[in-house]
Formats: sequence, structure tokens, C-alpha cells
Amino acid sequence: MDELTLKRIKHPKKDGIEELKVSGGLNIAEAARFREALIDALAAAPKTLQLNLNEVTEMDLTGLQLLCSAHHSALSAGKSFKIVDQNEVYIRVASEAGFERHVGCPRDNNSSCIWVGGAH
Amino acid sequence: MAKVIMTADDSASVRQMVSFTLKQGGYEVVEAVDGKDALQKLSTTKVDMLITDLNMPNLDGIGLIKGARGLASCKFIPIVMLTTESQDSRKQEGKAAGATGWIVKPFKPEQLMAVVKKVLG
Amino acid sequence: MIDVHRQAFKEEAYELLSELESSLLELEERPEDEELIGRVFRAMHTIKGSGAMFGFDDIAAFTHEVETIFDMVRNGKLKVTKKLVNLTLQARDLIKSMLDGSDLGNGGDLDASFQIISGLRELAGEAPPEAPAEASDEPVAVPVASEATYRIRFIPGHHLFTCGSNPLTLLAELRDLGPCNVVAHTGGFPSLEEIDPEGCYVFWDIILTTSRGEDSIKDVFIFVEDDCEVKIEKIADYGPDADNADYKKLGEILLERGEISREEMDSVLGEQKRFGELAVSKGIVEQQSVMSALVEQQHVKEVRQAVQQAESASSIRVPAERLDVLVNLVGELVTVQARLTQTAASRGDAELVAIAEEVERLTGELRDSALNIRMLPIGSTFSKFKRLVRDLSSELGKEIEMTTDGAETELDKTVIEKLNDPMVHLIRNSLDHGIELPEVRQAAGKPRQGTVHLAAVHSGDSVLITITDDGAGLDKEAIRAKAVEKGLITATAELTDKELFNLIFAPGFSTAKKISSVSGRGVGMDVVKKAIEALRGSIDITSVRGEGATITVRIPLTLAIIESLLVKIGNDSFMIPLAMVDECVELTREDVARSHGRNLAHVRETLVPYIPLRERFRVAGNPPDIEQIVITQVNGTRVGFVVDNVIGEHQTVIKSLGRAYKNVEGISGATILGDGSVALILDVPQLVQSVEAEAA
Repeated sequence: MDELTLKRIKHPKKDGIEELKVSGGLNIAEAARFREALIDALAAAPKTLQLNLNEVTEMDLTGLQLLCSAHHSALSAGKSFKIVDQNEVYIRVASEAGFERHVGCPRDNNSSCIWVGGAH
Repeated sequence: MAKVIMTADDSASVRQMVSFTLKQGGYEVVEAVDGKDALQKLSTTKVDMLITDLNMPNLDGIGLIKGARGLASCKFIPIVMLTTESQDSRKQEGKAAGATGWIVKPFKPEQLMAVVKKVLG
Repeated sequence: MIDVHRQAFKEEAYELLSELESSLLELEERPEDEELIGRVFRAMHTIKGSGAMFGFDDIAAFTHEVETIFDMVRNGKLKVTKKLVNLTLQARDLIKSMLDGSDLGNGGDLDASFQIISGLRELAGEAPPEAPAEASDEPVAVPVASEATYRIRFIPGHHLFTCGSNPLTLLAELRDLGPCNVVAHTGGFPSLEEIDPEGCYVFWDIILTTSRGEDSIKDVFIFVEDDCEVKIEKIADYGPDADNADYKKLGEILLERGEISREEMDSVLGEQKRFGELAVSKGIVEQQSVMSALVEQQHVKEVRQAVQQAESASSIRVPAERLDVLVNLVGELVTVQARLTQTAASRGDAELVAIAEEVERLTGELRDSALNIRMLPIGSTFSKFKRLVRDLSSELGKEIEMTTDGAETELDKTVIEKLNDPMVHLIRNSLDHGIELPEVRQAAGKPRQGTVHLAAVHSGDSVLITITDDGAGLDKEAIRAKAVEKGLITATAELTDKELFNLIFAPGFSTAKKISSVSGRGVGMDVVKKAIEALRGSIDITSVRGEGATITVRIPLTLAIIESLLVKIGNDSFMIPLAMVDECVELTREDVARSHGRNLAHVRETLVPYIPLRERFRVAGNPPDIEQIVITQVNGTRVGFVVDNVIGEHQTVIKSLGRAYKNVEGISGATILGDGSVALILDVPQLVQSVEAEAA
């Protein structure tokens, strides 16, 4: 099991975007830490929080739940939340958990649900 | 990387059978002869799952489950207890202590593997 | 591998037993020592638990009793006494002797174990055990579930993750059961600030199609059922009776799931828009619930399509002649295989024998499946008869209903075809002679409407077809009078009911007062009997006057292959269908001399007529000193056939004799033996008849 690392990256060229790069195992043992990192990154993001999942090696339901929750919090804060660089671990787990869908939840007022159209 | 499973049982023959079956299934196995031994090994070795008997000297299964759940490394791992049919109240006690599931003795290797697959995926 | 574990258990148990002995002796000194009591308990517990694991069931069962007592001691419910220690020491010795004897399959001394258990239970103030009884190993019937679709709502408890459970593995397990659609409900998650990162918020709607039954779904959730809400509903099945109409409308699914009320559904249905969109826009239901319901709709539709495709692919139409060719080829193969087996055996080449055995097994399977292909349910014939009954009853002015049973019973296609005419005749006969006119029935206190019941059922390697009517039954006196008139019996002949009833199958016999267009078509029941016998079947009739009659036709499952008895006369081989053979007895020169030229043999106080086949078939040469009589039974009549030698049972593939020999009497076909020579198959009923005719 790979150690979870959470790295914040500022995008100097793209204004307003805060990126959080997640590497390693995103599981229940790390859920509390991941939540804190999301809260901090969201607070630091001027307009958009983008999550880079390229180097995620393991993921469980707590991770998926937190992604949804982050989207929810971003909407309430008037910010946007998106996932970039999805890798096959993330896609597989989201699909196995039945998170892929065609429409967002009722809170998804600007059709930005991260699960719509399947994780891809 | 093979997942690591600990078998804690004071019966050498059960330990041998569990260990043999798990190794055949591609798992690494750590053996412990009672609850105390198990807890000690858990504090230094990271395991992905724990299979424990309930009646053991020094520290019994319930105590082991409680102790393991108190360790950061074991807080969320699946813990399966070995019970006998007559121990329904013990089963409830084990669940309350934090056990994930149980296997009723006597069991066959296939049943053991089915439960491991069920909780470990 | 198992032996290794058994050995390990034995070693462990011996060790525990020697520890146990010293613990017990110490316990006698210090009866209050909890540590010692715990040690004794655990030793017993381990021997019991591990014993059962490795197949030492007797030890496990016995040790369980001792463990129970020490559990009481451990919990302070029972005191350690000298007597208890004595009994436990005895128990320990017994367990040891059970271990010693385990390799010899020696279950231990039942008496001793009974004594010890009684003693222990007495101490515990319990009733003594039941005397040891043989354990019954009743097989548990596993019901075969047909494919069905289930809707599962799985709402995990909030703390599920923290006891090591991972719902993802459960979902994976469900997927292993069959095609599965999983929709997670993600709408209810709190914001980052409020969420408990280790809590479980998600829940699922799962649509699963499986043939493993509802219990296998419940088994998936066995560890979590106390902490979770799991609702399993069967929403569709795909058995032969399932209607394949369109699946439920979206609104109905949501209604069933309790997501909307009927009023809400109706309010939406009133408008001309897509239900899902409208229901969401009206705020009745969440988009996710609609999507989940859509998934269910799609899932069932897809499974239905798959089932239909599988059905259309699972049957292909093949011309009957091709099947006949196949069966003929298989027949030849069986013959060649018999030769191979015989040759291999005579060569004494072990390798060749092994190959021959393998070929024999495969040929047997091939034969069975080839014959199976030709099997058809008798039902189509039954429905033809329904029409017949309807038409005839109005012609006869009778009110008759036909009921059937066992329409699914399968018979060889050829047999079903050949059975048609005799069956028509038998049913006509029942309608015409059996069932009375409505007025007559009423006068006799019966319902106006008569019933003819047609049933087919498997019985060993035959099928029994019965035609039962609730008509007047057979008139014994009328039959007797007619038979005497026709010269079939003498006026004084004493006949059993069976023999009497069987007379109606005699040539040219008819008891109907007037010849109607129905039964009087110039064919008598004798023709029916001949047709049935040509199928190697038999016919039987029972009747109670005033209550009705039952005709039973017994037909072998297939015509292509029969079990028969191979016999020799000189150098010629003959086959006698085994189903007709009762027994074989010896016939010596003295026996022949004693019977003064009459062909009668004494078999256990009864006289059995016999036919010397050597004479009948004009086989050259002299019979051996001791001949064999093969006694056959046809419709209750025992007749013997004298042959030189009885070789043994033989599986016979029947070959017809071809047109040139079609009318040869006494021979129904031929077969080729393992050595390539030909054996003729005896037509037993015909031989008996022709001999009777000559005698008369």
C-alpha cells in the first residue's frame, strides 16, 4: 500500500485555479487527512479547485464520498470543482461503486457533477 | 504485492490448516499462538486482515479484537473470528468488539477462502 | 494434504491430553483455581473444534459434552468435585483411545462414552442423554431456482466502514451472481465541513439477474445484515411461464419502490410529457431515483432479450430422416464397439482393453444422447385425441369430457407415431362401449357427463399410458356368453377376471349390441393388441361393473435398442427380449421322457408349456443332453422356449429384416454380435400365438 501524499500546486499561467495532486492510496485510514486537505485547498482556490488523481494507486468509498462532498462544498462557496488526469484506478472504483451516472444530484445546479457521463 | 493475513489460534492444527489454505490462495501469512502474541506482532507488522479464534489463553479473541481496533494500523482492517455453533452470544460479543465477520467451525478450506474473498475483495 | 492436517491434529491432541491429565490432577488439589479450570476448558474446546475440522466427528461430539460441563464450572455454575475430576479423567482416557483407534475406523467404546456422559450430566443436574443412535445422513434437497431479476436496496449503517467491512467487495460478490446494475445514491452527502470522513453515506439500488435464488443474495450480506438495511424484492422471472410483455412503466417502478405516491403518479400521467422529466420538474422525485428506475427498466429488457435469443438458439429443426441416419450409425457403432471389446479381451492386451473400455463408455453416452434426441413429449398426440373425443361424443349423443395427465412424458418419435392408431381405437372403444348415454348415467346416479382420462407416466424403461373411463365397465357375463358363442372358451371354462377381460382382445370379438359407425369399422381389439405388441408393448384391462374401466398400455421407451438374453441353438444365435424373460430352468432327457411327448415342464408344482425351438426353426444336429428352457411371460401367460445354451444378457441394436423377410413368423428382427455373426430376435408373443393356434 502506497503512502498518501497530497500536494498543492499553484498554476501561475491559469489564474484562479488551485490544483491538489493526490498520489498513493486514498482509503479510509487516510480519509480524515484527505478531508482536511480538500477543505484547505478549496479555501485557497480563488475560483476553481482541480483535483489531479493521476497517481492514485488505491481508492475506496470514503474517497469517492469525499469527492462528492467537495463538489457540494465548492458549489455552496460559488466555486467550481473538477477532476483532471483521472487514472484507471479511479475509473474502475467509481464504476464498481455505481457512481457513474447520466445526471447529477439535485444540488448540481450548474451540471458540473463529476460523475455525469461516467468517470472518464 | 501479496496481502498479509494473520491467523491467531492456540490450536496448532487449525493454524496449520488456515495458513496452508491462505498460502495456496496467494496470501502471505503471519501466525500467532494466542491473543497476546498476536497483539504484539500486530504492533510491529502491518497486516491486511486478521483471522482469530475466540478461545485462547493469555488473551482471548474478544480481547484481541478490541486491542487490534485500538491500533491505528488495524482500525479498519477486516477481522474474522472463528466460532463454534454454540457460541452465538460470543459471536455478538465479537461483533460488538469490532469483528467484521465470522466463520463457524468446523469449516472447509473453500469456506475459509470464500470469507476471505468476501471481506478482503 | 488432508492427511497432513489430520496428523497434525492428532499430535496436537495427544499433547493437549497429556497436559490435561496433569491439569486435572492439579485441579484435584486446588479445585478453586480459575487458571486451571480455564486450561481444562480450552483443551476440551480445542480438541472439539479442531477435531470436527479434520473429520474426527466422534471425538468432537463426545468432547463437546465435557466442554459444556467445564463451561459451567468456568462460569461458577458448578463446583469441581472429586467425582467430576474422576469422570473427566475417564473422558480423557476415552478420547485418547478414540484417537488411537481413529486410523482403524474404530469409533471408540459407545458404552463407555455413554456412561461418562450420563455421569457428567448427572453432576450438572441434567437429563441423561438419549441412547446413542445412528446419525442419519439425509440429503438436503437443493431447490433449483430459475433465473429471476431482483431489486436490492442496500443502505449500509453509518459505521459500517469502521468494523472492517467494505461494501465494494459485497458489490463485487453480487456481480459474481449474474448480470448486475449498480446505482449509487450520492445526493445525501454532507459538505466537507460536516462530513464524517469515516462514516458511510452512500446507498445503492442494485438490479441483479441470477439463477441462484434469493438466499444466495442474502448470503452476500450475512456479515452486515444487522448493521444495514437490505431489502430484496423479486421483480421479474424468466421461467417458461413468465409473460414477456413489456416491463413496468417508469411510474410503476417508482411507485413500487415507494419513491412516489399513486396520486403523484396519476398527476404526472395526466400530462403528455415524458414521465421522468416531468416528475423531476414537478419536484416529486429526485433525478437519481428516476435514473435508478430507468436502469432497472433497461436491465430487465436486456435480460429478456438475451433469454429470448438463447431460446431461439437452443432449438434447431432437423429433418427426422437425419436423426434416423444418426441413430442407425450409432447402432452400427455399438455393434463395432462390442466387437472391439470382445477382441480386446481375447488378446489380453491391457492397453487395448483400456482403450476398448473408454470407447465403450463413450459409445454408451453417444447412444443415450442420440436416442434422447428422438424423444418427443406425448402431449401433441393427446391434444389430437381431445378433438376426437369432442367430435365423437356429439356423434354418439353423449356428453363426454376428456382430461389428460403427463402430456410432457417423452417417448421415441417412431413409437408415438405408431401408437396413434391403436390409441384412437381404444379411445373410440371407451366412448362407444364404456360411457353410457346421459339419461342412463343419470338413472344410475352418475353425473350426466362422462369422463375419459388419458395419462402417461414413466415406469422404469417403459411408459405406461392409461385410458380410464367412468362408464358402465365391462359386462363379464356378456363377454363370457360371446366367447362361448365364438368358440373361444368352453361353457364350463373357469376364468379369472383378468383372463375374461383379455378375451376382448381375441380376434373378431365384439360385445357391442349394434355395430355403430364408431367402433364397428371392421377392426377389432385384436388389431390393437397386435399393434401394441409390434411395439414390444403389452396391454391390460381392468374394470368394475358400473364404475368404469381402465386400459393400460405399456410401451418401451425406444425401439432401437433392447436388453435381451442371448441363447444358442447349435451354431445359431437367438435373442429373447429380457423384459419378457421370467427365469431359466434345465430340461434333461429324463424330463422329456417323463412328459410322454407333451411339451410341458414341471416348474415348482406348475406346468409350463414349452416350445422346442430346435424343432420349430428346423436347426440341424442333435440337442445336448441338458437343454435350457427360457421361460417367458406375456400378458400373464408363461411359456418356455427350449434352447441349447443360455449365453447371457446382451444389449441389442435392432435391425429390421428388410422387405424380403418381413413376413417371417416368430422373428421380429436381427442384430449383429460382437464377433460379427448375426443373431435373430425372437418375436415371443407371435410364437406363443402361433403355437396356441396350432394346438387349437
